[in-house]
Amino acid sequence: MKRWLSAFLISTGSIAAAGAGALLLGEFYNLSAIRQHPAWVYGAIALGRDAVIAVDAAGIDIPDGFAPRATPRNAALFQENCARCHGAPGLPPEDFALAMLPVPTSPVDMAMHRSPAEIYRFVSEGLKMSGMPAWQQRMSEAQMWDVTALVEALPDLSPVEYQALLREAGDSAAPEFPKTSDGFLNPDRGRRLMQQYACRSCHIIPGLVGRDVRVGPRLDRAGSRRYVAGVLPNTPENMVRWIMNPQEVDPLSAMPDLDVPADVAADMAAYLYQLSPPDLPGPPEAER
Amino acid sequence: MKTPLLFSLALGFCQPAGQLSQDETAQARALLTSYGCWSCHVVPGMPGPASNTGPPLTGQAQKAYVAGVVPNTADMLTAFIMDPRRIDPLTAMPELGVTESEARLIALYLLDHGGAR
Repeated sequence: MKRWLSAFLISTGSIAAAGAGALLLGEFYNLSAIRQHPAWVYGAIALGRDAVIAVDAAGIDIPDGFAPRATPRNAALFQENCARCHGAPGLPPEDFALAMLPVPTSPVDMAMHRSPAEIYRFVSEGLKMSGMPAWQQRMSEAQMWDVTALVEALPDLSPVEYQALLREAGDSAAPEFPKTSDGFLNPDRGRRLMQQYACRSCHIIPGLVGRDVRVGPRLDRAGSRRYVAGVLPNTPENMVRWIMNPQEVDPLSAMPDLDVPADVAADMAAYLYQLSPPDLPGPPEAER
Repeated sequence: MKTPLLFSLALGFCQPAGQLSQDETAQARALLTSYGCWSCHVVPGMPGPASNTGPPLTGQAQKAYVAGVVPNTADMLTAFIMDPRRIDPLTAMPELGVTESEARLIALYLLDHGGAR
């Protein structure tokens, strides 16, 4: 009986090890940052992460008098250290951060879903393999709570108010006008580039895996909506113009200028129109 | 203290406690109908043509911004419904002559009944 058992364990063990080896070394599981995890792997990792973070955060004492608070000083601190990867209301992350995988969470989404203790925990200790560094050797404890207070205040600030704080702090970030080029339409490239331009950190986009986020509207029916951004009639030209330069379309918009080139914006628009083709006049609209 | 998993499971299985009475809910629905909101928006709790002129109003409570330009609070939503161009001068949303109390009722209804995704 015992012999059977050990033979069974050894054989299943070797098969499992061989399987895992073949999966990774045979490159059946892609480790590059241009292919997302399948939704179920993403879900499992997020579940485990949130459980551990909840336990960690329970051990953190929030200082007396802590409250969500946006001042020129902590806005500048956030803009200087955090917005480079996370972006801020109406302002994009820096170029390199857009194609990180996982894509850095939008700070507004963070504030909507995480407690101050959890945010402090992320700032102070970082998160392994996510690209989030631990800031505890680079910022004082007071500064880390300042940043936490700012993040928690972001959902109550309009993009205009946030940027006014930055100007008051004497540090304004001016987005550059995007470069242009030509190309023919490739919706699938548009989908992949939407991941790499971090669109998914604010929008729900069918075909891309990520958080249940509502910082921007979900894009499943954006292609057939009558207006782009609630402002321009929905034509391919206007959609591309909006993706490339949101503030030119609506100076008040929370959507940041991500320096998307014209050919990329055109492919992104093509993907949106593929997801939800514009209404043709005549027949009543079908449900997705 | 917080057990996010259990919490979200629990949320999934029960209706959020409404701030509006049954009366107010009925009034809000009547307003949404009479102002024709459904002709441009998908409105939660109301059958309609799934119009896609404006964004769907479902899940309103989870959204970060009103009209993509100001924080999503009951006050901002009320102000936007009353006078859309005061919030965003460029918006395509028309001013329908909704009074403040009507706008507040509609806003509270959307924030309350927006749970369905």
